Amino acid sequence: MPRKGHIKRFIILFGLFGIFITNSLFFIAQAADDIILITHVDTPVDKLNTADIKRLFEGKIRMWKNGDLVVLVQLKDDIIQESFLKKYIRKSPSQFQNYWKNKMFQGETHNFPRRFHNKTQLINFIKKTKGAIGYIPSETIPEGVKIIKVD
Amino acid sequence: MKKRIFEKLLLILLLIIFGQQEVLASETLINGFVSQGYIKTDNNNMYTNSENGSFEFSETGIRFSTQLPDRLRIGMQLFARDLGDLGNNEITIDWAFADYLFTNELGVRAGILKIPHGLYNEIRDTDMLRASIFLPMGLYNEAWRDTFVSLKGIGIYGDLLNHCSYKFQVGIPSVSPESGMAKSFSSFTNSKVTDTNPESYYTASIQLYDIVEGLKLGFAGGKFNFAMNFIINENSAISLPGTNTGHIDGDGYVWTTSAEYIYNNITFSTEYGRFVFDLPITIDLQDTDKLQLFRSVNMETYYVNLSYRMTEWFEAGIYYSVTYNDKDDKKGKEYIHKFLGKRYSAWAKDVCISARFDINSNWVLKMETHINDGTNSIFNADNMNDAGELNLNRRWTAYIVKVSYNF
Repeated sequence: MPRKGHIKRFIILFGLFGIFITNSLFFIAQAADDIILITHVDTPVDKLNTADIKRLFEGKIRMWKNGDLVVLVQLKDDIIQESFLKKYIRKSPSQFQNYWKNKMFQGETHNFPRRFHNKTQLINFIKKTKGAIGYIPSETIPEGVKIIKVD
Repeated sequence: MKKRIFEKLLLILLLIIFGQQEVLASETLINGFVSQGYIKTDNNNMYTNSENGSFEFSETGIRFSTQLPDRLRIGMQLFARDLGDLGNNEITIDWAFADYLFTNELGVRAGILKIPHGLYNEIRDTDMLRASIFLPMGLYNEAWRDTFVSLKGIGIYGDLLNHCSYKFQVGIPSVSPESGMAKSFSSFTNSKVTDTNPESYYTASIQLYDIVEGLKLGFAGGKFNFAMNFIINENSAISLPGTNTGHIDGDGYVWTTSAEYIYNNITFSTEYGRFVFDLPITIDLQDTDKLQLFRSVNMETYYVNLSYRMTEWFEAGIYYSVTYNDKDDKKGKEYIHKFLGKRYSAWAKDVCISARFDINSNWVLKMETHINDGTNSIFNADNMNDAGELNLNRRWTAYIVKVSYNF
């Protein structure tokens, strides 16, 4: 029969763990809410639903309606990437990477999502690349790109 | 010989294209992998001299891909493997094609195209993408890899209605005297294939995805024709006095149905496949007479697989695979009258337990064990004793280790 002291310690530890998990989930959820989708100004789309975003980032939509090829970009930020993937793609980062390696080695694609170290590089790439689409934290609203509204 | 000339010319052409400054400037992606494995079996030889332990198990692949202007993409993958006397590190073109995308619903490819067969045929050589080293061998027979991995031809593909992707291809399969398909025929009949004439291969596949989140369903099929000439060994069951040559016109089809469900870090997959070959054999007798024999393969195979990625660096998997050489002769009573082998050569049942360790983003270590009942998945030719008699055991276990580096 466990002693009362052990039970108390267990409850405290469990409570702390629960708070930690809740905060982490909250943090991820908050991070997802603070992400915006941006694209080249000539991309013929102003809004996307979550199913379209999933199809885009899984390479199932390869071309925009104006004939420009879809060029996917991401930030090399683990927290931002993880929250975006969980919210819209429903994959973990390793599952997402495996999914694209799968497509690559099948010869299905050249269009592996490009990754940039910071949002300035990412924004500059989107500005000069027709068909490019990516996501960044929403704290700064960039100029020279189109912001996609998510339904 | 024709196949080798076509592949060499295609390789030279693609290397010239990839070597152009404009192509290099348009960002050519280069990826690849190198792996080395070790196989040890307690009974029976599995592709290699595995009863004594064998390192004759290695693979190398390198892939080039570039996007050219106006929606044209070219790419190729070079591949070399050594698995016993299969491959022998000869560099082959795994796939190499030009791809033009008209719309999301329609694209065209031409060149050496990967054959869509089951869920994993198109990535069967890239084991960093799965938990196990060997895929279920009934559906993904390593011996027949070089025939079923690609064809030379043309195809269309696309995505329809947001949940469906398709591929249709037509071309010529790869069946050479050195191929696993030829070795299988030689193994069953105790003969030696001297030359081959692959004729045609039609394939089609449809996949439905995300109708339910994480669920993928697939159907793939193919029909093919090929011809082989062979020399019969003296002690073969089809040897007759005064004869030693023959001819076969192979005609067959394959089809698979597949389901894969991914939920968080758990992957469940199951597939069912059929391989049906008609093999009319003509043996040359004295004085221009000929003897006609008929053999057929009516193979049935299925498996269930479960894998779980427990951490970023560790994944475990288990599958149970069943193969019958003839779905109407599961106990092998007819098999021993038609083919060289034991009664238990008519089936292969395999429990595979795998462990995968991702050492870092480039290095992967895998270990697995296969607990086998039946010998349909291995070659008779690898299991003859010094007296030329077949030396097989019904129950046997394989232990396999493999290290891979991918870039």
